[in-house]
Amino acid sequence: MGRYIGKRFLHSIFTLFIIATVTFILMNLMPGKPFTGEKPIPEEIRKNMEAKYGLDKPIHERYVIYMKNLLRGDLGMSMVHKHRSVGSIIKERFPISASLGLRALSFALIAGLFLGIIAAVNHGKTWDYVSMIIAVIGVSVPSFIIGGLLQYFVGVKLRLFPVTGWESFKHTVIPSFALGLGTLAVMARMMRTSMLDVLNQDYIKTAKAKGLPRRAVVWRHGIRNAILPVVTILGPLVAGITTGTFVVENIFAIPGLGQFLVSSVNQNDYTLIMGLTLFYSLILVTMNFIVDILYGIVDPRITLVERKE
Amino acid sequence: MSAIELEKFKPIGMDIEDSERITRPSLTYWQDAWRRLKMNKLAMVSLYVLIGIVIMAIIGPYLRPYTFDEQDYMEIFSPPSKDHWFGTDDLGRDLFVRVWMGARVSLRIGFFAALIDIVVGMIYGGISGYFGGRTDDIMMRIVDILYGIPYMIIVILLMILMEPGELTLIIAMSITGWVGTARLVRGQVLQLKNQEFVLAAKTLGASPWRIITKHMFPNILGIMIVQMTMDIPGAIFSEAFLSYIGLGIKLPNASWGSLASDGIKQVVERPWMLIFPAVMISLTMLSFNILGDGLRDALDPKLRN
Amino acid sequence: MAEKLLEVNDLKVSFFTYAGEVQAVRGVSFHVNKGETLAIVGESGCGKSVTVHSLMRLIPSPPGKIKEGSIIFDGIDIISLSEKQMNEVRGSKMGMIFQDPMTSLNPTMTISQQIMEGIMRHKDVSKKEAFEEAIRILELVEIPNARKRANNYPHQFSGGMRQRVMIAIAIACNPMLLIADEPTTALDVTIQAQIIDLMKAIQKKMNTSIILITHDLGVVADIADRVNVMYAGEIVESGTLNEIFYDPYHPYTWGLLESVPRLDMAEDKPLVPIPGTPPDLLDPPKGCPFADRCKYAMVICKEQHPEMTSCSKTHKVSCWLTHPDAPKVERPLGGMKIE
Ligand SMILES: Nc1ncnc2c1ncn2[C@@H]1O[C@H](COP(=O)(O)OP(=O)(O)OP(=O)(O)O)[C@@H](O)[C@H]1O
Ligand SMILES: [Mg+2]
Repeated sequence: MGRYIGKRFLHSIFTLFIIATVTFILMNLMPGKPFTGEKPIPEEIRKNMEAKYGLDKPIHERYVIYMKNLLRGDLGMSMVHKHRSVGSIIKERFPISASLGLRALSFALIAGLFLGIIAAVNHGKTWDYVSMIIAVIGVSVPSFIIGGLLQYFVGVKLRLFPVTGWESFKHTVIPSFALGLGTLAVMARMMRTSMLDVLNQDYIKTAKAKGLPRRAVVWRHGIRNAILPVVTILGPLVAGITTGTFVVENIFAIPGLGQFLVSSVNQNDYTLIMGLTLFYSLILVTMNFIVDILYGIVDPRITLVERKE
Repeated sequence: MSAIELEKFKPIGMDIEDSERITRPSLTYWQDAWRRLKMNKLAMVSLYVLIGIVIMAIIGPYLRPYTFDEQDYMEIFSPPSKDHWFGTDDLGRDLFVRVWMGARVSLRIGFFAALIDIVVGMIYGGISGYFGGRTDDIMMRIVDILYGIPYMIIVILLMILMEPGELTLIIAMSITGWVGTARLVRGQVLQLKNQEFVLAAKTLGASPWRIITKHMFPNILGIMIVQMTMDIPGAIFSEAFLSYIGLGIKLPNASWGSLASDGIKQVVERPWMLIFPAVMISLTMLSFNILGDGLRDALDPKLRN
Repeated sequence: MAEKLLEVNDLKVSFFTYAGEVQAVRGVSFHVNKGETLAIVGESGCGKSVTVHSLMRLIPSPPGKIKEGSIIFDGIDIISLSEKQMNEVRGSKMGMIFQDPMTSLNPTMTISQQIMEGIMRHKDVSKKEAFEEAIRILELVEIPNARKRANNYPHQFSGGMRQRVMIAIAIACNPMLLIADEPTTALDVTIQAQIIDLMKAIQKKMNTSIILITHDLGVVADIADRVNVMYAGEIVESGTLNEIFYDPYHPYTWGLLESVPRLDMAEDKPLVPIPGTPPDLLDPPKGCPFADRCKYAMVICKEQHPEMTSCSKTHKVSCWLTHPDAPKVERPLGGMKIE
């Protein structure tokens, strides 16, 4: 297990390194240099900045400086939001995004798994159809459309929940739902397929032949095995939720980090875009790492196979 | 028992043809799949809906006497009416025409992005799986890394770098989209590689290119068709998303995504601006997803009996 | 007179698929005595598995359904039991071993957990006692280092070892009847013999009855007391081991005996596969199901289903050739004539 974790860890570091390098190259391809954006910065500050980031030096030296800065956690200064470092923006806004994301994720995971299991256990019956209709709608309607429609019908017409802002629990309900629905749907479909597959396995017959009641067969033998393939898609699902926050925060005027990404894109705030790119990559790579380890724990076969390599 | 006439005991011998004939008439794989798909009502309805949408994308813009960028300052924000079936937008442009023009753009992006994904994924996965060993190791390591990179972020970066437009959208989406297909194809090829008919072809000296194209791809085709029906809505989805954050099609052109994102900003006072493109996006995605599921069931040889 | 443990009468099982009703088992009757071994043989798809799965009511439903017939096991009418009562029988009075040991064990549970589960379900024991019992059974099925290996996962065991574990699970609660559905098909030849020997040893020790499905007539000869020959969802011939091997009446049995290698056969005798394919169970023929593939078929065979006829107290066959008016035919094996 230790070796397996170590290997995965190196893998994650390597991925991050690649992303950082690609980002650096892209940054240097960008039309216009950092600090010479549309709104020119006072000459003095610019010189200072250029010295700090080594912009007056050749590209390979700049790369080294850039990497060193990254290692120290310095993502640079925003070009539009004067006198603010990317780091401080992240520090201030990320907790809100994280809170929204986690709410959506836990809602999606719990409800999605539940729906998937219900559907599989009642295969071909009413509940199967009900949960699959929910799931198909969930994957078919983009989160910003769900968000917009909910805002209109539930917020404006019915006045059940506030439509914008991020103050009380009530504010969090519609955004979390809009953000989580797609993930919920993917989760439910995946769990259903996986569960149906597992329920057809020979070892389920073995369990039944032991005289175990249906409940024990489904829970003890079915779910643990069925959840395995679902764990592997947790990484992409978290990625989906993360990108989802970009728009959902925008629609509901939630002062999170995602909003900054959208505005930085529209304002050509390159350093901020780059910094946020790296930051989001870090989150997702970390998430994938955690998922890999989780997988090693749930499936006893994984770590052994790795050892044989 | 003894009531049976004697001549009934005349030997007639075996009748193998007869016994062979009794077994179900053999249908080809594709005929069989088509028969199974036709029995899936929901999938067929989806197929018809999609055909309908494609037809409307072709003829829709000509059904009304407006063009997609024709502005009419007397008709700003008018709700759906006899003159403007889907209403008009902030510049008085007819939304019915714009929605179907948008359909062309969205469907084109979806189709071509999916096509590139499939082609690149098939070639990459095919080579990796077919040659195996060291080649496979390296190629799959690369895929693993790409897989770990948040896809939407790469797309956003590329969109900022390149000229905005349809082609850019397609390229940006394909740049990481093929990874999933490549993995899928590799898995299939690994399985097929050791099957007898492939081994036989190899022994007879067929070239790798021939084996991959003649023997393997036909067998993977079914899975690829399913993958395509799943990739198209994925690309339409991404396009809509990018349009929303301002990286999509540039005005005055329209896509479903850009129309919907314009609509969201007006949703409280002018819900029709959101509802029509939203319904189109959702209906298309829904139909593709259901059709994809149906195709998967129809093409799955495991279920064949 | 041996005591009957299981009696099956006119059992009919169908699967209702979109293509129609697959009549997988079409009226089979047989019995199993206490302590004896009954072998069921027949081509793939003839309904062997469906028959024995029905005994434990393990037919997936839908689409499967036991349509008719009775199954009396140890005085209990299996078909009338509620699902809850049935669970009391499964695993405690009847145990089952499946064909593929690679897929029949849960990959995410340890060996001991999987054995203990059945014990704790049917016996009033603590977890610790159940564990000790599991170790004892693992030793009984000759797993070396049982105590150490009990906490391993299935993937850490070889195929033969896993099949021993499967047997351990099946016999954990001393069942009266052990059903083995092709227990050796997926194993190497040398391992096969070991598993059969193990089953014999267990039978001797615990006086279990065994129903064994196999394609391997060598295994049948080794372990069976009596044999049922199945074809297209029916039993076409049944009798003692000797009757089936040395005095078979049904042309299908002849074909079967000729088509598989046997240890007691002259080495130079060629193996002859049975030509043709079994009938479609969606629409079984009204006459004898084997008629189309039978060298000796007569007009009547295609028109009317033959009845089960007794040839001796233990030997029954369903074939028109046994009719007094039928022509006498040369039996390919042993060259004896049918009287
Ligand atoms: N779940 C099912 N749905 C539909 N038909 C089924 C199902 N299970 C079995 N059958 C049908 O029942 C018939 C008998 O199958 P069964 O598994 O009993 O054969 P078998 O004699 O055990 O063959 P084998 O030696 O290959 O194990 C087959 O024709 C099969 O197609
Ligand atoms: Mg079977």
